[in-house]
Amino acid sequence: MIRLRWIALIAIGLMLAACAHNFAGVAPNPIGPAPDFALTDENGQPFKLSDLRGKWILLAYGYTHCPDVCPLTLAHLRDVKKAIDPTGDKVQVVFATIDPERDTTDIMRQYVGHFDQPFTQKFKGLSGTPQEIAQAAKAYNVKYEKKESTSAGGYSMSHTAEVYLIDPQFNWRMTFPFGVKAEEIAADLQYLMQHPEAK
Amino acid sequence: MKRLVIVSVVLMLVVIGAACSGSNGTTGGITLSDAWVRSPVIIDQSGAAYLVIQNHGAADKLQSVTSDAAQTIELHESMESGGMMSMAPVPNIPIPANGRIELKPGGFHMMLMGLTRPLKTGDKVQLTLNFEKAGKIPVTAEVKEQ
Repeated sequence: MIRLRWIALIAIGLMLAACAHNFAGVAPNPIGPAPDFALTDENGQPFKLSDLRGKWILLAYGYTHCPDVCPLTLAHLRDVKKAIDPTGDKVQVVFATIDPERDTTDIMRQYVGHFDQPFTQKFKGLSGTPQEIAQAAKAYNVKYEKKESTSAGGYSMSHTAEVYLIDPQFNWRMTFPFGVKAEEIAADLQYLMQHPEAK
Repeated sequence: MKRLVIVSVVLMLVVIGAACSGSNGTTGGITLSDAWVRSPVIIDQSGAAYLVIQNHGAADKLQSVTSDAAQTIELHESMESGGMMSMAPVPNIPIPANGRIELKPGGFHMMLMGLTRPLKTGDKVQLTLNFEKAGKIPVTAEVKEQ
């Protein structure tokens, strides 16, 4: 009888350990190497995502003429960085455009510069040729299309608005759907930093 | 003496009430509150404005918005379809009878285009919302970072 009680306790303990953290993000199944891509950074320098191996990477795609959704995503990533790694260089935010027609290197520098002001480690703002951007988007199953509009602001871009998390071993660890809060991303990231083996 | 105290208390309440509702536009059955503008990330690009519309009366429609801070203001909606977020201008925003509509990031919003002055965090922007039935209602929006 006593043995049965122990078994029950151990089982409960194991269950608690297994659900110690509820992830807001979705882990790829199976977890594997992060796809690499090559673009141009906000200073006009060639950039490969794998250059950031050794850091936790938060990667998002969007466009700077997006006044509603994209600033929210970037503000969330700024808040995650502020919460977890405000003075360090362990967490790198990367924002890649899907609107090469309007988003030049110069515009990308201004755009990410608005969000990375509090940090010494600056955000990466990536642009490139339409072909390069198509490849970089395809690598993470990002879908986008140009939408002509009657708006005075010109065309808009429809796009998936997820955030991707890549670990220092350059494995793709998590995808956060649009609408996930900064606190939730920060909690998942913090947990994974402490339990790199967790899924 | 007692009457004087009561009168002053009532007066004070009226003054406080008027002061508090200063930034909230109310006309007929429609009340506007929590208006804010997201400061544009890049100085010459558009800004987005948001607020809460509470309707205590019959169904209405928000038809247009004007402000001295922007040459044009369009009504837009961000929506998700097939996993993609997209944004499109809408001709109006329907306000249900006795309903509440929140213009917020990822949904309906007002697009301030052709800004006539740089908008900095903490600045105040006067918006005039034009409803089909309730007519014009002014509201003050504060410029915020996020």
